[in-house]
Amino acid sequence: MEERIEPSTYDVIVLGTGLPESVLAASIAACGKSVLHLDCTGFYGAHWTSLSFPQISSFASSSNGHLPCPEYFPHHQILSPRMPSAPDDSVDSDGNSGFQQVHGLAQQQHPDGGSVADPGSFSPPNRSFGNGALAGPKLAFCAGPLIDSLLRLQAEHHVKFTAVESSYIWRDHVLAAVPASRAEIFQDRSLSLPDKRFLMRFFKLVTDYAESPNGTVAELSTSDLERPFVEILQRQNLPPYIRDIILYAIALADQDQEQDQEQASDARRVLRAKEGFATLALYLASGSRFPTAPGPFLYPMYGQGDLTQAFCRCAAVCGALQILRMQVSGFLIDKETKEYKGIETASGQHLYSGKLITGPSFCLRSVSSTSTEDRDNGEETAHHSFSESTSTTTDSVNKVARCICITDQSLQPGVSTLLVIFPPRCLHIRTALVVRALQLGSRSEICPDGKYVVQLSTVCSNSTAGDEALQAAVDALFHSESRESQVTDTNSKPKLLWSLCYVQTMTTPWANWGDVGMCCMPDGTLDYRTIMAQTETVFHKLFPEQEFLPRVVVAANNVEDGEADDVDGVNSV
Amino acid sequence: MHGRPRQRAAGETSGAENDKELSKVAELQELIPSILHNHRTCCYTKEALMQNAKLLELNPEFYTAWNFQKRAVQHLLLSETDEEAHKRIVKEELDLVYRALKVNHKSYGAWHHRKWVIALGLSPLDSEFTLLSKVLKLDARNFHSWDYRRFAVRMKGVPINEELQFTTEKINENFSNYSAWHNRSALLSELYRNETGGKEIVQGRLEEEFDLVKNSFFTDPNDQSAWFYYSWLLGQVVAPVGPELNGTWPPHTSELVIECSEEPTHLSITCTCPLQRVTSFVSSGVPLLLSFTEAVTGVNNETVTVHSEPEVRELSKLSWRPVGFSQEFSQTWATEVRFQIKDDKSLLLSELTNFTVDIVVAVVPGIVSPGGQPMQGPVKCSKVSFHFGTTDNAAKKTIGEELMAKQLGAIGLVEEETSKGENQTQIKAGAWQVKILETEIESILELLKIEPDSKWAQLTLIRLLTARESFSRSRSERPADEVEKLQKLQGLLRELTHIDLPHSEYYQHEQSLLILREVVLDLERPTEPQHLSSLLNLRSSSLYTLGCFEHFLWVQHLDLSNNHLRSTHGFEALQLLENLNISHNQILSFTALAPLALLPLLRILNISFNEIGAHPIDTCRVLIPSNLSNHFMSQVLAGNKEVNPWEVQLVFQNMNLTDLDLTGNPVVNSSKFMKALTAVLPSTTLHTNESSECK
Repeated sequence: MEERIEPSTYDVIVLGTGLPESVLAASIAACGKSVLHLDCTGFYGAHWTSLSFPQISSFASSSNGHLPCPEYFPHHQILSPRMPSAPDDSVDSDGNSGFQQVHGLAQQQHPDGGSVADPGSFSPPNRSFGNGALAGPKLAFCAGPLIDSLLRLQAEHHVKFTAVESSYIWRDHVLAAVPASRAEIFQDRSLSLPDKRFLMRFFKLVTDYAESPNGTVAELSTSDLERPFVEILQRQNLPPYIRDIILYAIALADQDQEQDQEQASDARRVLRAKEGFATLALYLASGSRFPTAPGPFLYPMYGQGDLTQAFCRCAAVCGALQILRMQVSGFLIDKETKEYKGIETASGQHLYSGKLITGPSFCLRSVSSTSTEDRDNGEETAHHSFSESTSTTTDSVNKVARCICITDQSLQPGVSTLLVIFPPRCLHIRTALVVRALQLGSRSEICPDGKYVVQLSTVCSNSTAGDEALQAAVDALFHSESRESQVTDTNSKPKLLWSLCYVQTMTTPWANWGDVGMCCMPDGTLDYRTIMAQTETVFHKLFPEQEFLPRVVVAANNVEDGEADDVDGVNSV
Repeated sequence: MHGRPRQRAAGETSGAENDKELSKVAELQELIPSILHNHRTCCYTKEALMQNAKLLELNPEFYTAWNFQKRAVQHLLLSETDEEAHKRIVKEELDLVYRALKVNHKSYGAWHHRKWVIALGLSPLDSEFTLLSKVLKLDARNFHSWDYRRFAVRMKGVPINEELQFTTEKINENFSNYSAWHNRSALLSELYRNETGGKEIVQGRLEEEFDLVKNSFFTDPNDQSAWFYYSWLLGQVVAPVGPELNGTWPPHTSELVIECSEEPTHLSITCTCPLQRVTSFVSSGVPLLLSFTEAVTGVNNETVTVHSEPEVRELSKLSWRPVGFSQEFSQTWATEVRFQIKDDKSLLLSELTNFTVDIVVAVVPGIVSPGGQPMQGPVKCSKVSFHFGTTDNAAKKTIGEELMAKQLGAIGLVEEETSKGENQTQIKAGAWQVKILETEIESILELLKIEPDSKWAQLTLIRLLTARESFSRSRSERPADEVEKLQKLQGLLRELTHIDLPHSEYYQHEQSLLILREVVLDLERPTEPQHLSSLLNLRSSSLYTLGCFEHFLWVQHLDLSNNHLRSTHGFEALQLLENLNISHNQILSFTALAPLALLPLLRILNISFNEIGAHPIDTCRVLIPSNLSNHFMSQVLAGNKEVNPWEVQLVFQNMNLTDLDLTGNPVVNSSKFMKALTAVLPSTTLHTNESSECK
C-alpha cells in the first residue's frame, strides 16, 4: 500500500542513493535544510553498491545494466526502474546507467582441477557467499576528502574500514613492492642503494612542496609545475622502473603517460606536475595519518555499499527523510516561469521542493507537445527532458572496463587486502592501458575465509581493448583451468574460480537547469577525490552561501562500531 | 621527540593549568612530611603505604619515597611467610610502578624499583615484555625501557638471536631508532664473546651488519643513529681485541752507558738508540718504560721479566708503577734500575762488566685492559746493552764511537728481522679486514657522489681510509707514499672542517694526530750517520693536541711553541722530558699542566704567552683528580698563612723546576698567584716579563 509522504514540501529532494547523492543529502541536512531522499530500489547505493554474486551475474547479463530491485524480496524479481518520462511514453530502455556487459556468461571454473563436476557446481556462488562492488576498485585515502567528510559529518561511527596492507606493482612478471614511506624504502631490498637515496630525496621534495606556503619549491618554478609530471620525473635522475612506481602506483595516473601518439591531444590523459605532486603529497601524508593503518588506503568493511549507507544514516540523523522503493514518474514545473517546482511519485503524489538533485541514471525528456494540466493546482506536469541531457563526454577515453574475480588463495601469503598496479606495457600483450586490481579477503567481511575477491578496472577508449587488458592481467595473476595460459609455475598462483567482466561508458552529468543538480557516476579513478570535487561543485551551485560538509555536533554519540583506526590507549597490564 | 629542539610553549600555563599545578603542589606538601616521618620511624602500616603510593603517583621522581617503598616491601616480606602473600605483595608493587610509569614513562626511580622487585624473583616475567612493548609504542627510543629490556632478557634467558630479531623489527619500523641499533651492538658483542668459531663467523656477521646499516644511511644520510652504529662496526673490524705493547724505552738494541754523576746518589746515563739518537741525563736510576695501546693493569715482575746475561742482582725485584693519576691503570708503565754508589762516587757493582738486558713482556694472563681484555700479540722483547763507564771522558768518547760503528752495521740486520716478523702477522690478520674496508670505501664514495655535502659520509670516509692505511702499512712501502696518504687525509679533514663548523675542534684534533704521524715517519727515515739530538721540534705545526707518545719516549727537549694546545694530556708518558716549551698556545689555567707534575726530570718550563689567569678553571675539558680531602686541604692551609690557590699547590708542589717562564700570562699581574708560586717553587727562577727576572 502506498502512503502519502508527509510533509509534502522540502528544501531539497534527492533522487537516488548513490554516493554523491548521499553525501549531498547528508551535507544539506547538516546545514539545517529539510531533505527528502528517495530511491526506486530497495537498497542504498545505486551503482555504488555491492551486490551478492547472483545479483551481479543478473546485473551483467541484463542488456543494459539495470539494477536489481527490490533486493530483499524473496523471489529476486528484477524490475527495471521507471524512467521519469511522460506517463504514456514507454520507458526508454536505453537507460543511462551506462553499464553494458561484455561477457555474458560468468566463467565457470571447477573448484578442483581434474574432477569432472557438473558445470553448474560453482557458478555463480550463492547468496550467502558475500558481495562484490559494481564500481570497484575504489579506495579512500586516509588523508583524503572522503575520510575528511566522514569525520566532519561525524559519520565515522556508521562505517568500519579495513586498511590496504600493501601495494605492489607488476614488474618482470612478478609482484614488486611499492616503497612509499621511509621505512618501506629502507626495507625494500630490490632497490639499489643509490636508488634509495634518489627516491627518498624525491619524496622530500614532494613534502617540501606540500608544506611550502606558496606552492613552490627550490628546484621547481611555477611554470615547471604546469609541465607534464613525467617530464619532471625524467629530470630527476630516477631510473624508469622507479618512474613507473611513482607515476602509476603512487601518483595513480589512470592512463599511459609516456606514449605520445594519437592520445597526445587528450588533455585529460596527461598528468600535470602540480597534480602529480598533490597526489604524492596526499599519498605520503595518508601513510602516516592513522598509526594502526599500515598504508595510505582504506576500504569499507562489509562492502563498498556500506560507505553510502554511512552518509545516508548521517543524513537521517540530521533530519532527512529517506524512502526506498519509491519510484518517481515525473517532474513538475511552474506554468509561467517554467522553473522547477517538484516531482510526481509513481503513486501520483506531488511533492515540492526548492531544489532537486538526481543521480546520473536519470534522464529528463524534452517537453513534448502533450502536456497535461492539473487545473486544480495551477501547475503543469510536464516532463522535461533535455536532449543531450546526458551527453557523452568530449573525451574519447570514456570507458571503464571492470572485472570481478573470485580466487582461492591470496596473491601474497599472509596478506589479505592488497593493491596491484599494472603500468603500461608490463603485461605480455604490451597494452598501453593501466590496469588496477584490488584483492579483498575475509578480513573485509565480504567473503568467507579462504576465498578472495579481486576487483579489476582499467580506463580505455574501446571495450575490446579494455577487456583484453583485463584478461591479460587476470591471466598474469591467476591460473585458470579452461585457459591454457603460459605455463608458469601454476602451483604458486591463485586459482581463478569465477570471473565476470563488464564495461561502463562514462557520461558527464548535465547541469543546465538552475535548481537541479545532477551527480556523476562512478568513474575510473582509484580514489574519491574527483567524485568529491564534483559533488562539492553541485553543492555550491545549488547552495552558494552554505558550507559544504559543516561540522556536525551530534548530541548522543552512537558508538556502535568504532573506526578500525582508533589509537589504543595504554591499558593496565 | 628526538631531533627536535625543545620549545618552551609561549605563555606556558593558562589559568586552569596553573590551578591544577598549585593543587598538586599543595597535595605534595601535605604528604611529604608524613612520608619522611614514616620513613624515619620505619612505620609500614597500610595507611603509610597508601600515602606513599599517592605521593609516588603525584611525583614519581621522589626517590626517597621509592626507598621507603623498598624498605616496606622487605618488612612485609619478612612478616608474611605464605608464598601466596609474597606474590600478592609483589604484584601490588608492580601495579604501583605501573601507575607511576603512566605518569612519567621515563622516571628513573620507577624503573629502578621495578627492577628491584623483579629481581626478588617472585613474579612472572612475561608481563614485563607486554609492558615493554606498550612503553616502546609510546616512544620507541625510551632508553629506560631498552635498558630494562636487557635486564628482563637476562633474567628470562631469552636467546640472543631472538632478541636480535626484535631489534631488526624495530629498525624496520623506523631506522632512526638509536636504541635499537645500540641494543644490537650490545647483543652482537655478547654473541662474539660466546662464539668459538673464530674470525670467520665474525667476518660474515659483520658483512651482514654493514649491509643492513648501509640501507639506512643511503635512505637518509642525515640520520645519526645509523652512522654511530657504523662506526661501532668499523671499530669491530679495526680495533685489536686487546691492548698491545707499542713502545719501549730504551729502544730495542740501544746501548746505555752508565756512570756516576756530580750529584750524589745520581747516575749519568747516556743512551744511544738505533738511528743514532743520543740521550743523556742524570737520574737516580736507569728508567725502563713500557707503552701500551691502551691503559692496562697487571704490569709487574711476573708479567714482565727483566733479566740479563749474566744475572745481575739489581735487576731482580723491580717495581713497576703506572705513570699517571690512577694507581691501577695506565698506558705507560715505568720502573727504575738502581745501582749502589759508593762514597767515593764510584759504582758499586757486583761485577764491573757490561751486560745485556732482555726485557720480556709476556702474554700471560695478567696484563689486562679496563674492559678485561688480555694483552695481545706475540711476546715482545727488547734487548738493551748496559755499559759502565769510567770518569775518563776520552774513554767515554771512544766507547761512544765504537758503539756507533757497531750499530751502523747491525742496524740493517735488526730491522729486517723485526720487519719480516711484523709483516707476516700483519698480512695474516689484515686480509679480511682490508677486504671489508675496501668494500665500504667504495660504498661511501658512491654515497658521496650523490650527497657531496654529507658530513657524516666525509668523516666516515676519513676513518675508513685511516683504518685501511694502518692495516696495509708495510715497511716496503715508500715513506713518500705514506706521507702522501697522510696529507690527503689531512686535506679531507680540512674540507670537513668547512662543511661542519660546529665540530671543527674535533677535526682539528684528528688532523693534529695525522700531522704527528707524518713527523714520526720523517724521524724514522734512515739518515746519514750523524749525531741526532733528543730535541723534538714541533713549533708552529698547527697542533691542537699531542699524540703518538709511544714514538716520543726518547724526547728530552720538546718545542711546542706556537700551536693551539689547550692541555698537556698524555705528556706524562714523556718521562725523559727535561725542557718543555709550550709558549704561545692556548693553555687557560694551571690545571691544564697537571700531567707535567709526573715528569721527574722536567727542569725548564716555558708557558709564556698563554692565557693563564684570564679564565676560570676549565673543569670540563681537563679532568684531574684534585684531592680535596680534609687531609689535603688542611695541609694546604697549614703550609701557608693565606689560602693558597689550590691549583698552584697541586700542580707545582712536586716539581723541581729551575726555570719557569710566565711572561705574557694575565696571572702575572695577580700578586696572590705570584706569591703562591714563589712559596711552592722556592728555588725556581720565575720569568714574568721578557727582559727582567724576579725571584
